[in-house]
Amino acid sequence: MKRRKFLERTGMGVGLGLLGGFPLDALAAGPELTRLTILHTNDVHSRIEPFPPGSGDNSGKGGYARRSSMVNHYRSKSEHLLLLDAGDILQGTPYFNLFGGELEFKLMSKMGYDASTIGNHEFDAGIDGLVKQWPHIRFPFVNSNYDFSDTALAGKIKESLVVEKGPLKIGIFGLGIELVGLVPEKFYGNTRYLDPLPIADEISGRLKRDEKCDYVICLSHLGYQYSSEKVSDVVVARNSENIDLIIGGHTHTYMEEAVVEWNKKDRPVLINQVGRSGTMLGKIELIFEKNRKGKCETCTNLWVK
Amino acid sequence: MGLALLFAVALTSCSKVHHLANVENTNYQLEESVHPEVDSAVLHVIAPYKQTLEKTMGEEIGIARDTLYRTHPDGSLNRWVADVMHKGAEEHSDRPIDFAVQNFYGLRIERIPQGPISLGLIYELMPFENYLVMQDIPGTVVEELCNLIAGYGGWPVSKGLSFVISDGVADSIIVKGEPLNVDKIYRIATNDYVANGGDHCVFLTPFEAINTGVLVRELLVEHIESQTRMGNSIGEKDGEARIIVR
Repeated sequence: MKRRKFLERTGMGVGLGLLGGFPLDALAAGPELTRLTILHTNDVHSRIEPFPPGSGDNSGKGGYARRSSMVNHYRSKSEHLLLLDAGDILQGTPYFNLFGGELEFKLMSKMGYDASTIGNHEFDAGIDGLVKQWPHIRFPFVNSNYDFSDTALAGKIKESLVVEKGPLKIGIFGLGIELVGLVPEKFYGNTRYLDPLPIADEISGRLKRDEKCDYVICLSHLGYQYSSEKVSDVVVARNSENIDLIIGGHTHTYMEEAVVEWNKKDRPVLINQVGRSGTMLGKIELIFEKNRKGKCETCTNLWVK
Repeated sequence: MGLALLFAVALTSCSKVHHLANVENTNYQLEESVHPEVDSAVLHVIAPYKQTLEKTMGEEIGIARDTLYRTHPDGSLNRWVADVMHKGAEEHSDRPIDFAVQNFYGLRIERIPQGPISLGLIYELMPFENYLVMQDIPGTVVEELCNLIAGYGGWPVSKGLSFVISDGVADSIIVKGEPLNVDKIYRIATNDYVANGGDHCVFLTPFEAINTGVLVRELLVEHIESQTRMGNSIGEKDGEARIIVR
């Protein structure tokens, strides 16, 4: 995947359109600006505590306690904050084998996650195993391409969400990976996998046009990219019209920074993924200017193709 | 209020939209040097679970004399797991097992570090409730399996199987010292996830999976415990690669 060039701006280490180049005066006077911070995780895989010594590059990294403190830090600094997860919360340490996800879900609820999507390992205790955890889950799960209507999860998973943060309306929906050949049938039961592409198009269009969302986020557990034709975040981005950001998972892709793909209308779609096991935390900060359609005083031309 | 004024109000308020003016991104490493604080309220929630976990999972069951690595195309941890599966299956089989195969990402940690091995570490290595199974498959299917393994860049395979990955396909397949015979029926050991078509092994599903009733994880734990009882540590003697890339 070739990275696109971002327009030249003052260097501040890792980052996209950096605030260093943003006319900060504009925050004091001029048009109405709203700032939204998005923090995100994926494939945390029951890594409740940091990796122990002897785990190579991962030694000492991760853990819910440090992540929660970091989230609290940005909550106190941010005007508005969204905390999101892209699936595979479960499986990977004995915490899952012993407690079935109870601790993971309690901690995510306590941290105030705004939404997560369903990863393939969320099925590892079977549909009933996941349903059993519902009393501990105080955040919504979104998925639009699994048909759960004939399972015990019917009515429990949201197709999409509209979250209001101050004056902003943020649309969130989720996509899950093909289950056949990946998850034992006894675990996913009567869940039906549906082609993500037309569904992504329909839902994101509805969120933008009908729900009037200012920004549309796809929580994806499809995987970043494959050498085959298999549907992935890159494929979804290129075939989309109304998705602004894809927060990905499944492929455990360590991204130093988010990447940009171009959609059918030649508009940029941001994709980000932060490895696995909670050793990283992704942060995306957005600034919106409220102004007449087509008129924006502080808009920086973020990306050039 | 005149119509013109109404129109102006509509233009300036109702038709205003939120333009994305700027984006900044940083992907942080979650470690002490980046963010030194931890949330004590979270530690408090974890504490009772951790206590139960340490009681059941903290037990030291053996010692690794070297660090074992899960790597492509072959690695010491790959070989160790597959060999234990091979030996375990022989105890449940009325005929010799030709070789054992374990899917790469069915092993969920990259290494067993040198030193004490806790029960919990083996749960991290093999968290799934996968059973050890045996299948009788023709040589043509062995070839298909080896090609799939080659496509994945190499999976754990036991003694008894070796091949070369050349341009992404399996070449020079040797089973128990003999070149692969496509007309022969081979008995293999694997886990039920693979035998039931997991990780694109759909070509294995027509063949009956004879279930040993033993979880692969239990098998690994019992192997380590029996080595410990005999005063042995866990590690490799020869360490010769079974899958090589050319």
